[in-house]
Amino acid sequence: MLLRNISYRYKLPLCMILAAALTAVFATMVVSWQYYSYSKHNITVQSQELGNSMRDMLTWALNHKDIWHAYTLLRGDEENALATPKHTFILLDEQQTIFASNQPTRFPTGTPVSGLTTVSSTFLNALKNIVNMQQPKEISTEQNMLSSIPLLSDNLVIGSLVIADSYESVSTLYNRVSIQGLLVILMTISILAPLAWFWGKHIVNPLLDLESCILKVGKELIDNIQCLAPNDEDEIGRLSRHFQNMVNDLKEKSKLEHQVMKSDRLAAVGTLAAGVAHEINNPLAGMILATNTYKQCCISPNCKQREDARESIALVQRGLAQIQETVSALLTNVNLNTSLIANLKEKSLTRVDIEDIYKLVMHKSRTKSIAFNWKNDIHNTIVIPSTSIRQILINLLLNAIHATDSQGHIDCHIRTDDRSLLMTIKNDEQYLKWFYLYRLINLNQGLSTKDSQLRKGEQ
Amino acid sequence: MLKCQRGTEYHHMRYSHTVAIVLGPKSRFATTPTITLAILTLFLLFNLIASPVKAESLSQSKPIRIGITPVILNEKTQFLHEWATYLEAHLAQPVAFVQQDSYGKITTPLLKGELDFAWICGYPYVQHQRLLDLIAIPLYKGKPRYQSYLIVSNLDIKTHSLLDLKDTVFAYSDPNSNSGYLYAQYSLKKANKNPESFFKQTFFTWQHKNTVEAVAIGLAQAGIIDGYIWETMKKQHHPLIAKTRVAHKSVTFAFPPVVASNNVASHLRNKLQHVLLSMDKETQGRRLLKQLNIEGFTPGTAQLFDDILKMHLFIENRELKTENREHVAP
Repeated sequence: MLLRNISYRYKLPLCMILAAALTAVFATMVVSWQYYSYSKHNITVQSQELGNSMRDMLTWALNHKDIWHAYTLLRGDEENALATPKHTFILLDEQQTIFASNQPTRFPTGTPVSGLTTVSSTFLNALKNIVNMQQPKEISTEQNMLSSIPLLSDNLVIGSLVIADSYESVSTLYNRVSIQGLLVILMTISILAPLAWFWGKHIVNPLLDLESCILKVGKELIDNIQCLAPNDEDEIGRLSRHFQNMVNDLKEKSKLEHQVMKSDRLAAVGTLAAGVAHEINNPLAGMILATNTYKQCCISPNCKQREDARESIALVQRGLAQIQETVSALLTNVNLNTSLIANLKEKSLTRVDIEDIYKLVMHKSRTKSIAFNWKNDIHNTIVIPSTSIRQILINLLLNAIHATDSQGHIDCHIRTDDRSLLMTIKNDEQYLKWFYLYRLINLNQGLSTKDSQLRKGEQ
Repeated sequence: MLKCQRGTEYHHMRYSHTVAIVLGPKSRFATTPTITLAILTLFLLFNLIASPVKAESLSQSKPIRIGITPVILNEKTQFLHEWATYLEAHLAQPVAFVQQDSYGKITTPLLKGELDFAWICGYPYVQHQRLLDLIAIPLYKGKPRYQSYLIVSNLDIKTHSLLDLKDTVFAYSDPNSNSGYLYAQYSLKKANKNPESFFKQTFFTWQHKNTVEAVAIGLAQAGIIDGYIWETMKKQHHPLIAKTRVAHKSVTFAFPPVVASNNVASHLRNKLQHVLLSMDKETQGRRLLKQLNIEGFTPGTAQLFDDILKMHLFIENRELKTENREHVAP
């Protein structure tokens, strides 16, 4: 669990060292155990071979009661007199009395086997079971391996040589080998650790660089992220290159988005300019009509239509006010697009707007002596952009006047039902019915979409 | 290939002269039988002519054979070589030391005349006094005398005499040793103890040094040895000595003497005696004596060995009574 929270920078060298250490420990244990088993077997074989080589001489010593001779045979080199012997040799006579031993203190000469007090009961029992056998025999105890070699003289058993090998010496050797193995492991690890550290760093560094790059995504501008992908064909190399490709794609996308945004802004500015021009143009058309009306009234010496002139001036004033509002909106709002649209949206269609249009086109119809049947059934404010409707209605009426012969006749009926604003304009021959569907009004689409919101119907 | 080997060998005190001709299997002469036969014939003729001359020469340079028994720490091969060189220089004759691991193996050839001289124990000397000629007695601590030591393990603090050792395993040095056998036998019999049954078990170690080892390692509970050997080992800081304790020291006896076989020519006997007695007067001689842990040699007299003879007679008389056997002592 702890390893999961450690960086690969440390985890990898640690795992390498751990794996090496475990392998070395396992190998040492196996080798030590093999050595232990081999040593046990080897000691037993060696002692038996040694015992067999001494058999004739010991038989002679037994026959001649030469204890010293037997002892020197069992002792080996004189230098071994005070040393702890590798093998314990016990020479017994036919009465199972100790004749000689290379450990006289433990196995005193002249002591019957049954009277031994210097050995453990386990050893004593094993010794009792093995002596004076006709054939060589081996008995294992927890701590010793006992081998018996009968000594024959003229086909009679005159004694036996018992060889006792302590496993303690083998265990000591085993421990020594194990400790030496562990020391070698420690030395190896002390050499391996810096190498593992270096290798780990070498292997993990590309991964750490990749992680550092990935962490930058979302925090820094994609254009500022610079990652060097290694040329290796391993997983980290491939992953780094994939990531680099992804970053490049993101950069390309960002660039495109930038360009699109720029285009959109330009388009929005164009649309805004067109909208503004339109907003200014609409009242201008009315104002031109109003000024024409006023001009004709003023030129005429008997200007009878004072009321019309006065209304024309009022129309011009309203048109100028409308232009002022549009310009003010442009000046006062930072976000031109949304604020202006918002201002324009708020200007809903009223009965007065419809009546203004009638007044604007009525003078034109008079010039052609066209009878104008005007019916305005709009009494309440309708939440639709008034500017668009006004422009449409003006255009329709001017087109209708233009298409009607002098002395003609035009009917215009503006009304609403539950869903639509209906504008019906009819001349002598035909009639046009324009309707504006409320439900199609989408304020968010702005002025540029007004044409698509009109449906031309014919009855 | 023709190879000729010549050698002089001493084996079990037997002197032999060997001439061997070996014809190698791949001899180039084998391919030319005539030449080979001619060379071989010439070689054999040369040997036939030369042999009497060589035999006479060897006879003239026959070495003086001196037997060495375990009365000294005789494992000093380097010392014996130096001593032999010293004696050869002074005797103008080759000297060959013959070592054996028991007194008997030296005494017997000495009596047979196979050895010229020997350094033996006082006990075989008194046993064969008629057949041996006393040459010199070493001076140890200024006197031609030494003691027998009864030694036990250093862990044994109770034993102070032989009589404290009943039913133990006892180590004798040599059946022909005064200090390592005779004195113990004499003491037990003097105390009306039967040496055959007093101890639980006995054995011989054949060398005083071995008795020290037997006691030190616990093979025997006690042993009796030459006090001079024990002291010399102690002086040499032998590790076994520390594990033993001297439980009892005997009265002094005559030191083991250097004796000559009766067959030895008197001039040779006198010459060796003179060289031995003069050793302490020369630097090289004193250096050798120091290694032996003795001060010199004295002519001595046979009467010095009367104590040993008395012990021997004491034992022999009793044995003569029981076994009706005649001893060889005077």
